Amino acid sequence: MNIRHTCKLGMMIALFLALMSLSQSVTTAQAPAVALNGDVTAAAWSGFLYKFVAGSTLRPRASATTWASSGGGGCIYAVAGASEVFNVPLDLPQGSRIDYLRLYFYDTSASDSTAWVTIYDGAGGYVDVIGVNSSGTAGYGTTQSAYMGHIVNNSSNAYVLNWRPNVTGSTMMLCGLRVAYRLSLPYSVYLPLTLKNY
Amino acid sequence: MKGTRFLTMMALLAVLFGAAGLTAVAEPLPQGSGDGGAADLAPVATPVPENAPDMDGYVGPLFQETGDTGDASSSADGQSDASLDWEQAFPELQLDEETAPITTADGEITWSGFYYVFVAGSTLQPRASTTTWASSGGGGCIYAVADAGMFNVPLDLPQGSRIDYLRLYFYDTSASDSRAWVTIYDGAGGYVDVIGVNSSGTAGYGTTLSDYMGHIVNNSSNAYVLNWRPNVTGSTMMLCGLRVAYRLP
Repeated sequence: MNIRHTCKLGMMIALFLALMSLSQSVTTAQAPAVALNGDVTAAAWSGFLYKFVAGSTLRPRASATTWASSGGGGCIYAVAGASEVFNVPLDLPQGSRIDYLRLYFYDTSASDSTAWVTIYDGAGGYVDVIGVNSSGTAGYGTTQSAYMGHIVNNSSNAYVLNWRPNVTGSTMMLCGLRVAYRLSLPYSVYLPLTLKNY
Repeated sequence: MKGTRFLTMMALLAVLFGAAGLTAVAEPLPQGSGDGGAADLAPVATPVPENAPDMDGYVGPLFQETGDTGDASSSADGQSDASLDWEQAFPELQLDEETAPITTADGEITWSGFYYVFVAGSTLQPRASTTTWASSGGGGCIYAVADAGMFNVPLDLPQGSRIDYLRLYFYDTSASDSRAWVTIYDGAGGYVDVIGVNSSGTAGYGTTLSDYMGHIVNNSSNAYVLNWRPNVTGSTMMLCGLRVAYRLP
């Protein structure tokens, strides 16, 4: 009798834990941006999506800069021309919102490198919308920009990811850039039922 | 007795199930550099903090939305080309700016409004290493320094979408004109130039629009590439951007 009670109790606890974990995994993996007043049904943005490019896919803006790669081919560094900019196109969905830029680097230099997103209008106009520096001298590391909240407009702007090493040599390498963005959710029906105010 | 065994097995299964669920939640979210394998530099783990603001489930102070706060010094290349205001230059709606979807006579939507792929000129690279290059226009424009050969960049569009127009953004004070176009390659030496447009004039910044194309994207058979040929070296001829206007079915 005692064994039966113990088993029943064990099953109930385990099922409770399983349900709790399932609920948690739904809210952490799919959590949309919630309105500041806490009204989840008013949430207008999806959970985070990412655009993650390897450092070695960037190229210098001028051919006077020479480069090489390391880190299994994923990282890039300037061989000559430290102050020149490396770039790569950034293609994001129309109307999405850029929240953060994360820089993945290898840095044993006393200098810091800088990564940022620029928008160009095709007529010489530009805005640097979000930026972040590497830090420290410990080797591999990652840093995250401040919050930006820029709404993507592919009709008016060309989006570009940039990196400036500020020093030549393999003591400063770009290993990756990751943009965290959200999609606009026009209808709350896309939200999981558990997040609605039913 | 059998009932007790059955309950014991069920309890064990339930505990295992619960533990697995918790492990899945406790598992770290997608991690950092992960570009190991280098013989010269041993990679170390640089995990993104689980509670970072750019991760779902972040717990911390809420952000306050602000406007663009660019670092104006980052993209600057030391040159001071006066930029052009497109809205003043072209106040009327252009052929590649119609936002309404295409419908049949009975109102059925057949094609969406326009979507765009807009690439900055400075993200193109020469097809041959004999061509050297530099950038200007705040870093957004590119020009050939030596050997006015071709520049290109991959063009990634949704399967089944329809390419309607290519728009060229340029800086041109040269007597020559540059040309931009889209090419599809079949991977076996075959290619088709599906749409093209030239720069024009000598007034500096400008934009030109291709004729209508209506090419249906087939990523199964074709690789899509944006090309530009300056036809002259020097900063009198620069590519500042290419914009493809396409529709979704």
